[in-house]
Amino acid sequence: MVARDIMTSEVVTIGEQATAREAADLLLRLRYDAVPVVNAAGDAVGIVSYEDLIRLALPEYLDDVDLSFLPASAPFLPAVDAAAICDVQVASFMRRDRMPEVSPEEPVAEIARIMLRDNVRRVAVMEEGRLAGIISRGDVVRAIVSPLMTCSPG
Amino acid sequence: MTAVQLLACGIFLAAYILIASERVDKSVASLTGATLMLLVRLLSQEEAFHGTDVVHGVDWNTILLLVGMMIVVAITKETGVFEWMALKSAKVARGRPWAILALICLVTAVISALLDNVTTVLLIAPVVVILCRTLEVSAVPFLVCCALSSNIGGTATLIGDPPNIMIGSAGHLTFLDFLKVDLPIIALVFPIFLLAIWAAFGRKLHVDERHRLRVLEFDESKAIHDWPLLRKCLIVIVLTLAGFTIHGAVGLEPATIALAGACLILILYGKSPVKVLEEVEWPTIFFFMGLFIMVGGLVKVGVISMMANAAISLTGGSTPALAILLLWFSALFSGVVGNIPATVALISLILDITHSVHGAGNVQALHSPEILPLWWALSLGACLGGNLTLVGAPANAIVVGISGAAGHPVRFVEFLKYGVPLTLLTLVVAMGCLWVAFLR
Repeated sequence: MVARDIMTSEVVTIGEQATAREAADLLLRLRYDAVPVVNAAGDAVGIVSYEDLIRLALPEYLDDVDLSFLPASAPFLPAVDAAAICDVQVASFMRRDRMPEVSPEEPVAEIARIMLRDNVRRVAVMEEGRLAGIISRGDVVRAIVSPLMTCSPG
Repeated sequence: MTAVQLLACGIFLAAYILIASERVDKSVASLTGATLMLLVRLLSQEEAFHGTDVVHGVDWNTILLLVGMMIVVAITKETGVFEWMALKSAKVARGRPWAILALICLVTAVISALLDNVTTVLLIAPVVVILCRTLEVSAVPFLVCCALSSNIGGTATLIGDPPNIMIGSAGHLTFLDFLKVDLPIIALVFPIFLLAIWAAFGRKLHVDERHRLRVLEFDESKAIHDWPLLRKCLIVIVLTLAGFTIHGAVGLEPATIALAGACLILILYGKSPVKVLEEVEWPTIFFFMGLFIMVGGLVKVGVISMMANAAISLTGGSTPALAILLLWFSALFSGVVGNIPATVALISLILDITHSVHGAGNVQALHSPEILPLWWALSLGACLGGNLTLVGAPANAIVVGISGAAGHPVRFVEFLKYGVPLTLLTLVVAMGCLWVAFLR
Protein backbone atom coordinates (compact mmCIF):
# COMPACT_ATOMS: atom_id res chain seq x y z
CA MET A 1 0.00 0.00 0.00
CA VAL A 2 1.45 3.36 -1.05
CA ALA A 3 0.72 7.05 -0.62
CA ARG A 4 -1.40 7.30 -3.78
CA ASP A 5 -3.87 4.72 -2.41
CA ILE A 6 -4.73 6.61 0.75
CA MET A 7 -4.16 10.29 0.02
CA THR A 8 -6.90 12.88 -0.16
CA SER A 9 -6.33 14.29 -3.64
CA GLU A 10 -8.93 17.00 -3.74
CA VAL A 11 -6.97 19.34 -1.49
CA VAL A 12 -8.84 22.32 -0.08
CA THR A 13 -6.56 25.35 0.28
CA ILE A 14 -6.86 28.87 1.61
CA GLY A 15 -5.34 32.06 0.18
CA GLU A 16 -2.64 33.83 2.20
CA GLN A 17 -4.72 37.04 2.13
CA ALA A 18 -7.63 35.33 3.90
CA THR A 19 -8.39 36.34 7.49
CA ALA A 20 -8.16 34.26 10.63
CA ARG A 21 -11.94 34.18 10.82
CA GLU A 22 -12.19 32.81 7.26
CA ALA A 23 -9.60 30.16 8.09
CA ALA A 24 -11.49 29.20 11.24
CA ASP A 25 -14.80 29.04 9.39
CA LEU A 26 -13.27 26.85 6.66
CA LEU A 27 -11.70 24.42 9.14
CA LEU A 28 -14.86 24.18 11.22
CA ARG A 29 -17.06 23.66 8.18
CA LEU A 30 -14.85 20.95 6.63
CA ARG A 31 -13.96 19.37 10.01
CA TYR A 32 -10.27 19.43 8.99
CA ASP A 33 -7.67 20.40 11.55
CA ALA A 34 -5.44 22.16 9.00
CA VAL A 35 -5.38 23.41 5.40
CA PRO A 36 -2.46 24.38 3.14
CA VAL A 37 -2.05 28.11 2.43
CA VAL A 38 -1.45 29.11 -1.20
CA ASN A 39 -0.25 32.37 -2.76
CA ALA A 40 -1.80 34.10 -5.78
CA ALA A 41 0.14 31.79 -8.13
CA GLY A 42 -1.36 28.76 -6.41
CA ASP A 43 1.91 27.59 -4.84
CA ALA A 44 1.71 26.19 -1.32
CA VAL A 45 3.46 28.68 1.00
CA GLY A 46 2.48 27.36 4.42
CA ILE A 47 -0.13 25.66 6.50
CA VAL A 48 -2.73 26.97 8.91
CA SER A 49 -4.21 24.76 11.62
CA TYR A 50 -6.41 24.95 14.70
CA GLU A 51 -3.19 25.06 16.69
CA ASP A 52 -2.09 28.24 14.89
CA LEU A 53 -5.48 29.85 15.49
CA ILE A 54 -5.36 29.00 19.18
CA ARG A 55 -1.78 30.30 19.41
CA LEU A 56 -2.95 33.56 17.86
CA ALA A 57 -5.43 33.95 20.71
CA LEU A 58 -3.08 32.72 23.44
CA PRO A 59 0.27 34.53 23.12
CA GLU A 60 3.46 32.72 24.05
CA TYR A 61 4.22 34.97 27.00
CA LEU A 62 1.28 33.37 28.81
CA ASP A 63 2.59 29.81 28.39
CA ASP A 64 3.95 29.66 31.95
CA VAL A 65 0.98 31.38 33.58
CA ASP A 66 -1.80 29.25 35.08
CA LEU A 67 -5.04 30.84 33.93
CA SER A 68 -7.40 28.98 36.30
CA PHE A 69 -8.07 32.27 38.09
CA LEU A 70 -10.21 33.60 35.22
CA PRO A 71 -13.89 33.83 36.23
CA ALA A 72 -16.77 32.24 34.33
CA SER A 73 -17.91 35.68 33.21
CA ALA A 74 -14.58 36.56 31.53
CA PRO A 75 -14.22 36.43 27.75
CA PHE A 76 -11.85 33.82 26.31
CA LEU A 77 -8.85 35.81 27.54
CA PRO A 78 -8.99 39.42 28.69
CA ALA A 79 -5.42 40.01 27.45
CA VAL A 80 -6.43 39.50 23.84
CA ASP A 81 -8.80 41.47 21.65
CA ALA A 82 -10.75 38.69 19.93
CA ALA A 83 -12.36 41.00 17.37
CA ALA A 84 -8.96 42.31 16.22
CA ILE A 85 -7.57 38.80 15.96
CA CYS A 86 -10.34 37.73 13.58
CA ASP A 87 -9.09 40.23 11.00
CA VAL A 88 -5.44 39.14 11.08
CA GLN A 89 -4.29 37.78 7.72
CA VAL A 90 -3.38 34.13 7.48
CA ALA A 91 0.03 35.02 5.96
CA SER A 92 1.08 36.68 9.21
CA PHE A 93 0.54 33.73 11.53
CA MET A 94 0.58 30.57 9.34
CA ARG A 95 3.48 28.18 9.74
CA ARG A 96 5.91 28.46 6.87
CA ASP A 97 7.85 25.30 7.64
CA ARG A 98 6.93 22.86 4.91
CA MET A 99 5.15 19.63 5.56
CA PRO A 100 7.30 16.56 5.02
CA GLU A 101 7.01 15.67 1.35
CA VAL A 102 6.64 12.16 -0.02
CA SER A 103 6.21 10.70 -3.49
CA PRO A 104 2.95 9.00 -4.52
CA GLU A 105 4.81 5.67 -4.49
CA GLU A 106 5.99 5.98 -0.87
CA PRO A 107 4.90 2.96 1.24
CA VAL A 108 2.35 3.85 3.90
CA ALA A 109 4.56 2.30 6.60
CA GLU A 110 7.31 4.79 5.76
CA ILE A 111 4.79 7.65 5.97
CA ALA A 112 3.68 6.34 9.38
CA ARG A 113 7.32 6.26 10.50
CA ILE A 114 7.90 9.88 9.36
CA MET A 115 4.76 11.02 11.21
CA LEU A 116 5.86 9.48 14.48
CA ARG A 117 9.55 10.36 14.16
CA ASP A 118 8.96 14.03 13.30
CA ASN A 119 5.73 14.31 15.33
CA VAL A 120 3.83 15.70 12.32
CA ARG A 121 0.12 15.39 11.76
CA ARG A 122 0.16 15.27 7.96
CA VAL A 123 2.46 14.90 4.94
CA ALA A 124 2.24 16.37 1.44
CA VAL A 125 2.25 14.01 -1.53
CA MET A 126 4.17 15.72 -4.34
CA GLU A 127 4.07 14.66 -7.98
CA GLU A 128 6.27 16.45 -10.53
CA GLY A 129 6.66 19.42 -8.20
CA ARG A 130 2.92 19.86 -7.66
CA LEU A 131 0.87 19.08 -4.60
CA ALA A 132 -1.02 15.92 -5.51
CA GLY A 133 -2.61 15.19 -2.16
CA ILE A 134 -2.45 15.24 1.63
CA ILE A 135 -2.22 12.31 4.00
CA SER A 136 -3.38 12.81 7.58
CA ARG A 137 -2.84 10.59 10.60
CA GLY A 138 -6.48 9.49 10.19
CA ASP A 139 -5.75 8.29 6.65
CA VAL A 140 -2.86 6.16 7.95
CA VAL A 141 -4.92 4.67 10.78
CA ARG A 142 -7.71 3.87 8.29
CA ALA A 143 -5.16 2.15 6.07
CA ILE A 144 -3.87 0.10 9.00
CA VAL A 145 -7.24 -1.11 10.28
CA SER A 146 -9.06 -1.73 7.01
CA PRO A 147 -7.05 -4.84 5.94
CA LEU A 148 -7.15 -6.09 9.54
CA MET A 149 -10.90 -5.95 9.47
CA THR A 150 -11.21 -7.67 6.13
CA CYS A 151 -8.61 -10.34 7.00
CA SER A 152 -9.77 -11.03 10.54
CA PRO A 153 -10.23 -14.77 11.15
CA GLY A 154 -13.71 -15.96 11.47
CA MET B 1 49.72 52.11 25.23
CA THR B 2 51.62 49.00 24.21
CA ALA B 3 50.55 46.76 21.34
CA VAL B 4 49.36 44.12 23.81
CA GLN B 5 47.23 46.70 25.64
CA LEU B 6 45.77 47.91 22.34
CA LEU B 7 44.93 44.33 21.36
CA ALA B 8 43.23 43.66 24.71
CA CYS B 9 41.27 46.92 24.50
CA GLY B 10 40.28 46.16 20.91
CA ILE B 11 38.84 42.74 21.77
CA PHE B 12 37.14 44.10 24.90
CA LEU B 13 35.60 47.11 23.15
CA ALA B 14 34.47 45.07 20.15
CA ALA B 15 32.74 42.59 22.46
CA TYR B 16 31.13 45.32 24.60
CA ILE B 17 29.92 47.20 21.50
CA LEU B 18 28.37 43.97 20.18
CA ILE B 19 26.74 43.38 23.58
CA ALA B 20 25.36 46.95 23.69
CA SER B 21 24.14 46.79 20.08
CA GLU B 22 22.35 43.48 20.71
CA ARG B 23 23.19 42.50 17.14
CA VAL B 24 24.78 39.29 18.38
CA ASP B 25 23.55 37.21 21.30
CA LYS B 26 25.34 38.68 24.31
CA SER B 27 26.53 35.31 25.61
CA VAL B 28 28.11 34.54 22.23
CA ALA B 29 29.77 37.99 22.06
CA SER B 30 31.13 37.64 25.59
CA LEU B 31 32.41 34.07 25.20
CA THR B 32 33.98 34.87 21.82
CA GLY B 33 35.81 37.89 23.25
CA ALA B 34 37.05 35.79 26.17
CA THR B 35 38.17 32.94 23.95
CA LEU B 36 40.00 35.33 21.60
CA MET B 37 41.93 36.68 24.59
CA LEU B 38 42.92 33.12 25.49
CA LEU B 39 43.81 32.22 21.88
CA VAL B 40 46.19 35.17 21.48
CA ARG B 41 47.60 34.44 24.97
CA LEU B 42 46.67 37.77 26.52
CA LEU B 43 46.09 35.68 29.61
CA SER B 44 46.57 31.99 30.33
CA GLN B 45 43.74 29.52 30.81
CA GLU B 46 44.94 29.03 34.40
CA GLU B 47 44.54 32.77 35.08
CA ALA B 48 41.16 32.86 33.32
CA PHE B 49 39.64 29.79 34.97
CA HIS B 50 41.21 29.79 38.41
CA GLY B 51 42.59 33.30 38.89
CA THR B 52 45.79 34.47 40.52
CA ASP B 53 46.56 37.22 43.04
CA VAL B 54 46.51 39.78 40.24
CA VAL B 55 44.04 38.42 37.67
CA HIS B 56 40.80 37.23 39.26
CA GLY B 57 39.41 35.18 36.39
CA VAL B 58 35.96 33.57 36.55
CA ASP B 59 34.29 34.30 39.89
CA TRP B 60 32.82 30.90 40.74
CA ASN B 61 31.24 32.29 43.89
CA THR B 62 29.08 34.53 41.68
CA ILE B 63 28.43 31.84 39.07
CA LEU B 64 27.31 29.16 41.52
CA LEU B 65 25.29 31.58 43.64
CA LEU B 66 23.39 32.50 40.47
CA VAL B 67 22.92 28.85 39.48
CA GLY B 68 21.78 27.89 42.99
CA MET B 69 19.20 30.65 43.18
CA MET B 70 18.01 29.95 39.62
CA ILE B 71 17.31 26.34 40.63
CA VAL B 72 15.35 27.46 43.71
CA VAL B 73 13.29 29.87 41.61
CA ALA B 74 12.75 27.37 38.76
CA ILE B 75 10.95 25.03 41.16
CA THR B 76 9.17 27.79 43.11
CA LYS B 77 7.66 29.26 39.96
CA GLU B 78 5.89 25.96 39.22
CA THR B 79 3.66 26.55 42.25
CA GLY B 80 2.00 29.65 40.75
CA VAL B 81 2.90 31.81 43.76
CA PHE B 82 4.17 34.69 41.60
CA GLU B 83 0.86 34.96 39.74
CA TRP B 84 -0.96 34.66 43.07
CA MET B 85 0.95 37.64 44.48
CA ALA B 86 0.12 39.80 41.44
CA LEU B 87 -3.57 38.83 41.54
CA LYS B 88 -3.77 39.23 45.31
CA SER B 89 -2.38 42.77 44.88
CA ALA B 90 -5.20 43.58 42.48
CA LYS B 91 -7.79 42.16 44.88
CA VAL B 92 -6.35 43.96 47.92
CA ALA B 93 -6.37 47.15 45.82
CA ARG B 94 -10.06 46.41 45.14
CA GLY B 95 -9.47 46.95 41.44
CA ARG B 96 -8.43 50.59 41.76
CA PRO B 97 -5.72 51.17 39.14
CA TRP B 98 -3.28 53.33 41.10
CA ALA B 99 -3.49 51.02 44.11
CA ILE B 100 -2.89 48.03 41.82
CA LEU B 101 0.12 49.72 40.24
CA ALA B 102 1.64 50.65 43.62
CA LEU B 103 1.05 47.21 45.14
CA ILE B 104 2.36 45.36 42.08
CA CYS B 105 5.49 47.55 42.16
CA LEU B 106 5.92 46.77 45.86
CA VAL B 107 5.40 43.03 45.40
CA THR B 108 7.80 42.99 42.44
CA ALA B 109 10.41 44.90 44.43
CA VAL B 110 10.17 42.59 47.45
CA ILE B 111 10.31 39.37 45.39
CA SER B 112 13.17 40.80 43.32
CA ALA B 113 15.13 41.54 46.49
CA LEU B 114 14.96 37.84 47.40
CA LEU B 115 14.79 36.02 44.07
CA ASP B 116 15.85 36.39 40.45
CA ASN B 117 14.54 39.62 38.81
CA VAL B 118 14.10 38.08 35.37
CA THR B 119 11.86 35.25 36.60
CA THR B 120 9.90 37.66 38.79
CA VAL B 121 8.95 39.97 35.94
CA LEU B 122 8.52 37.06 33.50
CA LEU B 123 5.67 35.76 35.67
CA ILE B 124 4.20 38.99 37.04
CA ALA B 125 4.14 40.95 33.76
CA PRO B 126 1.69 38.60 31.93
CA VAL B 127 -0.76 38.91 34.84
CA VAL B 128 -0.30 42.69 34.69
CA VAL B 129 -1.28 42.61 30.99
CA ILE B 130 -4.45 40.67 31.81
CA LEU B 131 -5.30 43.06 34.66
CA CYS B 132 -4.73 46.16 32.51
CA ARG B 133 -6.80 44.79 29.64
CA THR B 134 -9.60 43.94 32.06
CA LEU B 135 -9.45 47.46 33.49
CA GLU B 136 -9.11 48.89 29.97
CA VAL B 137 -6.05 50.99 30.88
CA SER B 138 -2.76 51.11 28.97
CA ALA B 139 -0.44 48.33 30.15
CA VAL B 140 2.76 50.18 29.22
CA PRO B 141 3.27 52.29 32.37
CA PHE B 142 2.37 49.30 34.53
CA LEU B 143 4.83 47.03 32.73
CA VAL B 144 7.71 49.53 32.66
CA CYS B 145 7.21 50.36 36.35
CA CYS B 146 7.26 46.63 37.06
CA ALA B 147 10.77 46.39 35.55
CA LEU B 148 11.97 49.54 37.31
CA SER B 149 10.65 48.26 40.66
CA SER B 150 12.33 44.93 40.09
CA ASN B 151 15.70 46.66 39.65
CA ILE B 152 15.15 48.99 42.62
CA GLY B 153 14.06 46.11 44.88
CA GLY B 154 16.99 43.99 43.74
CA THR B 155 19.40 46.72 44.91
CA ALA B 156 18.42 46.08 48.54
CA THR B 157 20.15 42.74 49.08
CA LEU B 158 23.29 40.79 48.21
CA ILE B 159 21.24 38.25 46.24
CA GLY B 160 18.76 40.74 44.74
CA ASP B 161 20.61 41.79 41.61
CA PRO B 162 23.60 40.31 39.74
CA PRO B 163 25.79 43.42 40.28
CA ASN B 164 25.35 43.02 44.05
CA ILE B 165 26.23 39.33 43.92
CA MET B 166 29.51 40.20 42.16
CA ILE B 167 30.23 43.17 44.44
CA GLY B 168 29.59 41.09 47.55
CA SER B 169 31.90 38.40 46.26
CA ALA B 170 34.77 40.66 45.16
CA GLY B 171 34.46 43.09 48.10
CA HIS B 172 34.00 40.36 50.73
CA LEU B 173 30.76 42.03 51.81
CA THR B 174 28.20 39.79 53.50
CA PHE B 175 24.44 39.51 53.13
CA LEU B 176 24.12 41.39 56.44
CA ASP B 177 26.39 44.20 55.18
CA PHE B 178 23.93 44.74 52.32
CA LEU B 179 20.98 44.68 54.74
CA LYS B 180 22.70 47.34 56.85
CA VAL B 181 23.61 49.69 53.98
CA ASP B 182 21.59 49.09 50.79
CA LEU B 183 18.29 47.99 52.39
CA PRO B 184 17.70 51.22 54.39
CA ILE B 185 18.66 53.30 51.34
CA ILE B 186 16.17 51.38 49.16
CA ALA B 187 13.56 51.64 51.92
CA LEU B 188 13.83 55.40 51.36
CA VAL B 189 14.32 55.35 47.56
CA PHE B 190 11.34 53.10 46.81
CA PRO B 191 8.60 55.27 48.40
CA ILE B 192 10.07 58.31 46.64
CA PHE B 193 9.96 56.36 43.36
CA LEU B 194 6.28 55.51 44.01
CA LEU B 195 5.53 59.13 44.83
CA ALA B 196 7.15 60.22 41.57
CA ILE B 197 5.13 57.82 39.41
CA TRP B 198 1.99 58.82 41.32
CA ALA B 199 2.66 62.48 40.53
CA ALA B 200 3.61 61.74 36.91
CA PHE B 201 0.65 59.58 35.91
CA GLY B 202 -0.65 57.46 38.81
CA ARG B 203 -3.05 60.09 40.11
CA LYS B 204 -4.62 60.43 36.65
CA LEU B 205 -5.46 56.72 36.38
CA HIS B 206 -9.19 56.18 36.39
CA VAL B 207 -11.27 53.23 35.31
CA ASP B 208 -14.89 52.52 34.66
CA GLU B 209 -16.67 51.02 37.67
CA ARG B 210 -17.79 48.01 35.58
CA HIS B 211 -14.19 47.20 34.66
CA ARG B 212 -13.03 47.58 38.24
CA LEU B 213 -15.61 45.04 39.39
CA ARG B 214 -14.47 42.56 36.74
CA VAL B 215 -11.04 42.38 38.36
CA LEU B 216 -12.69 41.45 41.66
CA GLU B 217 -14.12 38.34 39.99
CA PHE B 218 -10.64 36.88 39.49
CA ASP B 219 -10.09 33.96 41.83
CA GLU B 220 -6.46 34.26 42.91
CA SER B 221 -6.66 31.13 45.08
CA LYS B 222 -6.83 29.05 41.87
CA ALA B 223 -3.46 30.45 40.73
CA ILE B 224 -1.69 28.18 43.21
CA HIS B 225 -1.91 24.70 41.81
CA ASP B 226 0.54 22.84 44.03
CA TRP B 227 0.14 23.65 47.72
CA PRO B 228 2.42 20.86 49.03
CA LEU B 229 5.23 22.03 46.70
CA LEU B 230 4.64 25.65 47.71
CA ARG B 231 5.06 24.72 51.39
CA LYS B 232 8.35 22.96 50.56
CA CYS B 233 9.56 25.95 48.52
CA LEU B 234 8.71 28.43 51.26
CA ILE B 235 10.58 26.31 53.82
CA VAL B 236 13.65 26.16 51.56
CA ILE B 237 13.53 29.90 50.81
CA VAL B 238 13.25 30.77 54.52
CA LEU B 239 16.10 28.39 55.40
CA THR B 240 18.25 29.74 52.55
CA LEU B 241 17.64 33.35 53.64
CA ALA B 242 18.48 32.37 57.23
CA GLY B 243 21.67 30.78 55.89
CA PHE B 244 22.55 33.99 54.04
CA THR B 245 22.12 36.10 57.18
CA ILE B 246 24.68 33.98 59.05
CA HIS B 247 27.05 33.12 56.17
CA GLY B 248 29.59 35.73 57.25
CA ALA B 249 29.44 34.71 60.90
CA VAL B 250 29.99 31.01 60.16
CA GLY B 251 32.61 31.69 57.49
CA LEU B 252 30.73 30.23 54.51
CA GLU B 253 30.56 31.88 51.08
CA PRO B 254 27.07 32.83 49.79
CA ALA B 255 27.40 30.37 46.88
CA THR B 256 27.66 27.50 49.38
CA ILE B 257 24.39 28.61 51.02
CA ALA B 258 22.66 28.96 47.63
CA LEU B 259 23.83 25.50 46.53
CA ALA B 260 22.62 24.03 49.82
CA GLY B 261 19.20 25.60 49.18
CA ALA B 262 19.21 24.28 45.60
CA CYS B 263 20.11 20.74 46.73
CA LEU B 264 17.46 20.75 49.44
CA ILE B 265 14.73 21.91 47.08
CA LEU B 266 15.78 19.37 44.41
CA ILE B 267 15.58 16.58 47.02
CA LEU B 268 12.18 17.74 48.35
CA TYR B 269 10.90 18.22 44.77
CA GLY B 270 11.38 14.51 44.20
CA LYS B 271 10.76 14.59 40.45
CA SER B 272 13.44 14.41 37.72
CA PRO B 273 15.73 17.45 37.92
CA VAL B 274 16.29 17.50 34.13
CA LYS B 275 13.59 20.07 33.35
CA VAL B 276 14.53 22.17 36.37
CA LEU B 277 18.19 22.28 35.37
CA GLU B 278 17.16 23.25 31.83
CA GLU B 279 15.36 26.26 33.34
CA VAL B 280 18.65 27.67 34.66
CA GLU B 281 19.45 30.67 32.46
CA TRP B 282 22.57 29.10 30.97
CA PRO B 283 23.13 31.85 28.35
CA THR B 284 23.37 34.36 31.23
CA ILE B 285 25.81 32.11 33.09
CA PHE B 286 28.08 31.85 30.03
CA PHE B 287 27.73 35.61 29.52
CA PHE B 288 29.15 36.13 33.02
CA MET B 289 32.03 33.70 32.44
CA GLY B 290 33.08 35.50 29.26
CA LEU B 291 32.91 38.90 30.96
CA PHE B 292 35.06 37.76 33.88
CA ILE B 293 37.70 36.42 31.50
CA MET B 294 37.71 39.51 29.27
CA VAL B 295 38.09 41.87 32.21
CA GLY B 296 40.80 39.54 33.55
CA GLY B 297 42.64 40.14 30.26
CA LEU B 298 42.39 43.91 30.72
CA VAL B 299 43.70 43.60 34.29
CA LYS B 300 46.59 41.39 33.15
CA VAL B 301 47.86 43.84 30.52
CA GLY B 302 47.53 46.80 32.89
CA VAL B 303 44.67 48.69 31.22
CA ILE B 304 42.56 48.64 34.39
CA SER B 305 45.52 50.06 36.36
CA MET B 306 45.76 52.93 33.89
CA MET B 307 42.05 53.64 34.34
CA ALA B 308 42.38 53.42 38.13
CA ASN B 309 45.28 55.88 38.08
CA ALA B 310 43.29 58.21 35.84
CA ALA B 311 40.30 58.03 38.24
CA ILE B 312 42.58 58.73 41.22
CA SER B 313 44.30 61.68 39.57
CA LEU B 314 40.96 63.08 38.32
CA THR B 315 39.56 63.08 41.86
CA GLY B 316 42.83 63.87 43.67
CA GLY B 317 42.41 60.53 45.43
CA SER B 318 39.56 61.92 47.54
CA THR B 319 37.19 59.15 48.59
CA PRO B 320 33.97 61.23 48.40
CA ALA B 321 34.88 62.43 44.91
CA LEU B 322 35.82 58.90 43.80
CA ALA B 323 32.58 57.47 45.25
CA ILE B 324 30.39 60.06 43.55
CA LEU B 325 32.26 59.65 40.26
CA LEU B 326 31.81 55.88 40.53
CA LEU B 327 28.09 56.19 41.36
CA TRP B 328 27.29 58.29 38.31
CA PHE B 329 29.76 56.66 35.94
CA SER B 330 28.53 53.16 36.81
CA ALA B 331 24.93 54.27 36.19
CA LEU B 332 25.81 55.77 32.81
CA PHE B 333 27.99 52.79 31.85
CA SER B 334 25.12 50.44 32.87
CA GLY B 335 22.73 52.39 30.69
CA VAL B 336 25.02 51.90 27.69
CA VAL B 337 26.22 48.30 28.00
CA GLY B 338 23.97 46.86 30.72
CA ASN B 339 24.69 46.73 34.44
CA ILE B 340 26.26 43.27 34.45
CA PRO B 341 29.14 44.02 32.03
CA ALA B 342 29.58 47.47 33.59
CA THR B 343 29.90 46.02 37.09
CA VAL B 344 32.43 43.33 36.10
CA ALA B 345 34.71 46.04 34.67
CA LEU B 346 34.26 48.52 37.53
CA ILE B 347 34.85 45.90 40.26
CA SER B 348 38.33 45.34 38.86
CA LEU B 349 38.81 49.12 38.92
CA ILE B 350 37.98 49.26 42.66
CA LEU B 351 40.30 46.32 43.33
CA ASP B 352 43.11 48.15 41.54
CA ILE B 353 42.41 51.40 43.42
CA THR B 354 42.59 49.35 46.64
CA HIS B 355 46.06 48.11 45.64
CA SER B 356 47.19 51.64 44.72
CA VAL B 357 45.98 53.10 48.02
CA HIS B 358 46.96 50.32 50.42
CA GLY B 359 49.54 48.28 48.53
CA ALA B 360 47.45 45.24 49.40
CA GLY B 361 44.12 43.65 48.47
CA ASN B 362 43.22 41.89 51.74
CA VAL B 363 39.88 42.23 53.50
CA GLN B 364 41.15 45.01 55.79
CA ALA B 365 42.17 47.05 52.75
CA LEU B 366 38.87 46.31 50.93
CA HIS B 367 36.88 47.46 53.96
CA SER B 368 39.06 50.48 54.81
CA PRO B 369 37.32 53.87 55.11
CA GLU B 370 38.90 54.91 51.79
CA ILE B 371 37.56 51.90 49.84
CA LEU B 372 34.33 50.74 51.53
CA PRO B 373 32.17 53.66 50.23
CA LEU B 374 33.31 52.83 46.68
CA TRP B 375 31.67 49.38 46.85
CA TRP B 376 28.36 50.88 47.93
CA ALA B 377 28.62 53.61 45.29
CA LEU B 378 29.09 50.93 42.62
CA SER B 379 26.24 48.83 44.01
CA LEU B 380 23.78 51.74 44.01
CA GLY B 381 25.04 53.18 40.72
CA ALA B 382 24.96 49.93 38.76
CA CYS B 383 21.74 48.49 40.22
CA LEU B 384 19.73 51.72 40.02
CA GLY B 385 21.49 52.69 36.77
CA GLY B 386 20.03 49.50 35.29
CA ASN B 387 16.80 51.49 34.99
CA LEU B 388 18.34 54.16 32.76
CA THR B 389 17.73 52.47 29.40
CA LEU B 390 16.17 49.41 27.83
CA VAL B 391 19.54 47.60 27.90
CA GLY B 392 20.42 48.69 31.45
CA ALA B 393 19.21 45.53 33.17
CA PRO B 394 17.92 42.14 31.97
CA ALA B 395 14.41 42.65 33.43
CA ASN B 396 13.83 45.68 31.16
CA ALA B 397 14.09 43.73 27.94
CA ILE B 398 11.78 41.04 29.36
CA VAL B 399 8.88 43.43 30.09
CA VAL B 400 9.38 45.29 26.82
CA GLY B 401 9.22 41.94 25.00
CA ILE B 402 5.97 41.04 26.77
CA SER B 403 4.57 44.51 26.13
CA GLY B 404 5.34 44.13 22.43
CA ALA B 405 3.76 40.67 22.28
CA ALA B 406 0.66 42.11 23.95
CA GLY B 407 0.36 44.71 21.19
CA HIS B 408 2.06 47.67 22.91
CA PRO B 409 5.58 47.94 21.49
CA VAL B 410 7.86 50.10 23.67
CA ARG B 411 10.70 51.67 21.72
CA PHE B 412 14.10 52.63 23.12
CA VAL B 413 13.14 56.31 23.35
CA GLU B 414 9.79 55.62 25.03
CA PHE B 415 11.58 53.61 27.72
CA LEU B 416 13.94 56.57 28.27
CA LYS B 417 10.96 58.77 29.12
CA TYR B 418 10.41 56.63 32.20
CA GLY B 419 13.98 55.45 32.77
CA VAL B 420 15.95 58.71 32.69
CA PRO B 421 13.93 60.88 35.11
CA LEU B 422 13.26 58.04 37.55
CA THR B 423 16.90 56.88 37.49
CA LEU B 424 18.15 60.42 38.08
CA LEU B 425 15.73 60.82 40.98
CA THR B 426 16.63 57.51 42.64
CA LEU B 427 20.37 58.15 42.14
CA VAL B 428 20.18 61.61 43.71
CA VAL B 429 18.41 60.14 46.75
CA ALA B 430 20.95 57.30 46.91
CA MET B 431 23.82 59.77 46.61
CA GLY B 432 22.40 61.77 49.52
CA CYS B 433 22.18 58.62 51.64
CA LEU B 434 25.72 57.60 50.68
CA TRP B 435 26.95 61.06 51.65
CA VAL B 436 25.25 60.97 55.05
CA ALA B 437 26.42 57.44 55.77
CA PHE B 438 30.03 57.50 54.57
CA LEU B 439 31.29 60.64 52.93
CA ARG B 440 30.66 63.55 55.31
